[in-house]
Amino acid sequence: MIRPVASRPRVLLVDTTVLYSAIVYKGLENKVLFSGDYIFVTTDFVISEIQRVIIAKRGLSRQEARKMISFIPVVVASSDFTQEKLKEADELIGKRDRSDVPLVALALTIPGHDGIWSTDKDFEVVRGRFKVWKTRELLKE
Amino acid sequence: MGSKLLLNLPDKDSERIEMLVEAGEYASKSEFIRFAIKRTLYSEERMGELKAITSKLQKQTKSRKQVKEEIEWAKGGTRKAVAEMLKQ
Repeated sequence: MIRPVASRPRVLLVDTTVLYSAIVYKGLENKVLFSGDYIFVTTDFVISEIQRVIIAKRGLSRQEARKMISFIPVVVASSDFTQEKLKEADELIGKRDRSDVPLVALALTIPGHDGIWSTDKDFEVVRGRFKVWKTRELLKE
Repeated sequence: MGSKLLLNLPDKDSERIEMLVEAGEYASKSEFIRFAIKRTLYSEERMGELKAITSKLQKQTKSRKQVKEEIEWAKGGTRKAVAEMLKQ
């Protein structure tokens, strides 16, 4: 069945730098994440990184961390979903930073997304392949 | 017994709700509105809890530098995991 929908919101793939900043810092990233203007997708690696750091460095209990993560408006893709594109992603960005490989694999896996939202300079190397959004650009949209 | 609400909706929204009712997604326009209200209240409740936790975290943040260092620390685990996955 075809549902009547309004214009499609942008689908952005979000990395740890902006997602973690949006949670722990009341700045521009926080405004974008909770604007309701975008659909955000990330990897389970990003979620694990955030969970690890808020438990180890910020003293949240495991239960609090899990609860908080479940409330963040982000769709999480499992690493199984991006497994096939992992090597290709490693060739694209692995030399700059291996921790960014899963998000690039996600970008190669999801069809029709609108780019990556990150302030990490390492993503410059995939600019020719995907649109890489800076936070201020999203606020101007 | 619940309370009754009189709503003024833009024609465009009202037509879209009617289309969903005609398509059998909702039994009536009232059911759609009840569902929308329940979902919004649930979402507000979750957002309230999320704000309480993030505000606690934001109070602990001293600087952008601290945030960057914590991210770098967290990424170490991913680098190891990705390297392992690529070996397989």
